[in-house]
Amino acid sequence: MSMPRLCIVCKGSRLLCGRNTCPLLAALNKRSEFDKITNTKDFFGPSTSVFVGRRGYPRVGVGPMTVIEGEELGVEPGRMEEPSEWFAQGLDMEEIIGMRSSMLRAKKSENITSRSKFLSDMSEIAMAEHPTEVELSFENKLSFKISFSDIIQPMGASVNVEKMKVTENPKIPKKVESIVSDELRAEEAAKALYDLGLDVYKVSVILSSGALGLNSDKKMVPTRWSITATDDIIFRRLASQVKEYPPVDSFYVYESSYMDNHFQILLMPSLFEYENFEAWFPGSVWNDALGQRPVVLEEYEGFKGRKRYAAEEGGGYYAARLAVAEALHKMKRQAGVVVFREIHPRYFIPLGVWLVRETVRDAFRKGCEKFETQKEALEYINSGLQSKHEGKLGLKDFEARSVMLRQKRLVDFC
Amino acid sequence: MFEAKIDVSVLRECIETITAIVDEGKIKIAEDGLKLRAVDPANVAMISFELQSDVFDEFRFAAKEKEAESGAEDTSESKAETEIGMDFVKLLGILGIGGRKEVELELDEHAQKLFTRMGSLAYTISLLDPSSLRKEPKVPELEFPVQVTIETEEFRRTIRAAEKIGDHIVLGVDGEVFYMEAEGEMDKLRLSLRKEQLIHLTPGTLHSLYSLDYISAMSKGMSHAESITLNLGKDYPLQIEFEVADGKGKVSYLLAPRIESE
Repeated sequence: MSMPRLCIVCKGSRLLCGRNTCPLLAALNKRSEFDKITNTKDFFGPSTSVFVGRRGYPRVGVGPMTVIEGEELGVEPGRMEEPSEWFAQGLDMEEIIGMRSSMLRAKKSENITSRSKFLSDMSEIAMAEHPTEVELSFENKLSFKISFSDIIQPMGASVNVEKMKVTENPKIPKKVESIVSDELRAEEAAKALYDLGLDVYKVSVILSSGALGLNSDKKMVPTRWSITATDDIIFRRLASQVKEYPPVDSFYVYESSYMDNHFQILLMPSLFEYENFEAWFPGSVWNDALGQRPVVLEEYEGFKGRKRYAAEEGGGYYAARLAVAEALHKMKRQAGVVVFREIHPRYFIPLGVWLVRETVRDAFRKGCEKFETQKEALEYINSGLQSKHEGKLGLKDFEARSVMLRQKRLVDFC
Repeated sequence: MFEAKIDVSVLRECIETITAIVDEGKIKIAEDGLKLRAVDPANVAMISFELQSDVFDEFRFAAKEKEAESGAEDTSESKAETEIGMDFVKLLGILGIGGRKEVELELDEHAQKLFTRMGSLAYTISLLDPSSLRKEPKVPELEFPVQVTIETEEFRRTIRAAEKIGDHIVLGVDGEVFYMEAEGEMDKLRLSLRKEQLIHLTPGTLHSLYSLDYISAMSKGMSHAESITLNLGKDYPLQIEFEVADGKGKVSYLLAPRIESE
């Protein structure tokens, strides 16, 4: 993506975004590290993950993600792929961009159904418990080009690989190995891996590497798609159980905030239904029309679930919905759920949907407020809207677009 | 014990009124016929359904004998009934493939199965455990100031047109005119019918807003009825009543309103 307009005006000097330091400069500082190795053709280091591109599908760029300077950075390479850790440590935008800028994406063009040695190595790196040491020969000079995405975590540079050698035995947990070698459909295998205790981040990398599926139809899945696919697969597994649990007994509001993304989540005593709002403020990532109104997006699904892709909101819808289902599953309750997400101007560089997933998970770890009536719960949410204090957005702006908040229930007339 | 014979198309039109609201539910069988009351998962729509036993070509029912309860006072015959959990979507599918005019039904309560036979095709349906199904809903006590009776086809046509426009619809009465109104971002639709164009109308001035998803589903359920009666209020549930199976079946839908946005 191109840099936001604000950044082009500012160029890191005036801090127009209101931050203390420029997150992009933090990234660009990494450039000098890359420059040191720009003329080298060989690389030796840990591979933390596998990345599968989507351009040119079904022939895509695939290869290991490696860390340029893990030790100097003081970052354990393993942490590079664990957004739940980033959240737990409260890393801010600069730190995350800085850290991920030292990620090098090495790639080779392969068909998604290919069975080459290179790709079976990829599957093993994806499944390994710890980063795996690899030796790479580059085809070209590596180019520093930090990239950002709404779905995927940022990364620093990319380069074409000519040859790769895995120089140690990837440590793959026995149970993972056994699930992957069973003749299971990709979806079943992904569920089994999650049940084993792997977080969705790891499951999606394994899914993307092409390790899963019946032998006859194993194939790679572009990283971007595999993230949302994993959220959806695991959600459906949890939801089928959640929908059997008794409804919550009252109205509950959960809340959390991270990097200028503010979430309030309402649980209502009802069978499972789900509505997700995103209010993008002028100046935030996808709304650069400075000075204009916030843009409110809405997506909804009923008890029977959805068939159509949530195109209005994309990956964020699925990431939040997964975290909600995890929480309900743990409570052994179902509920009608409305998520209110406000995205403020200081979130102007997209960092990936992990941020949504982790912030919603955090909301449920914190305490909640309990209310007797929907009206009281909504008043509380209204007063908690951060933008309300700026006079920009009120509950009414959400209600006007809502399926769930505007629908009366028969029980209201009993 | 329950054994019955009925015209397939009659039974289908009855079951279709139910699947408009719920996929599964508890149906009560008694000497005078079948009864069901069920609410959708979101507690927004409800169906009350009754089918008289004389619509069946054959209808034999005897309640399970209850032991040693003769001391209790309310063992009157009329209260004897059996409750079964039914997957209506499945039943409808089976009725659709029989290719016969008549279906025989036989309940095996112990095995919790319903045998259906259409000609030489026998299909055994496993019943659902009634305790796993949602409780019968509380019925709101409602008083409707206004009543409108309209030809079903007129109503259904308007709903089909409204589906092209938006996701909700206003139903209202203005003096002696009944109207339906849908407004989307671009287009607008209005049907107005004067009293003389309707079968019946109580004059008044009021309207309510409803979700089209629900009304569209109900509209499919009523396709075999010639006319329907709408009971309306201001920002109030909608009740739609109609008859199926030559007047031997009675259906009543309830639908909670939507709050209008300012």
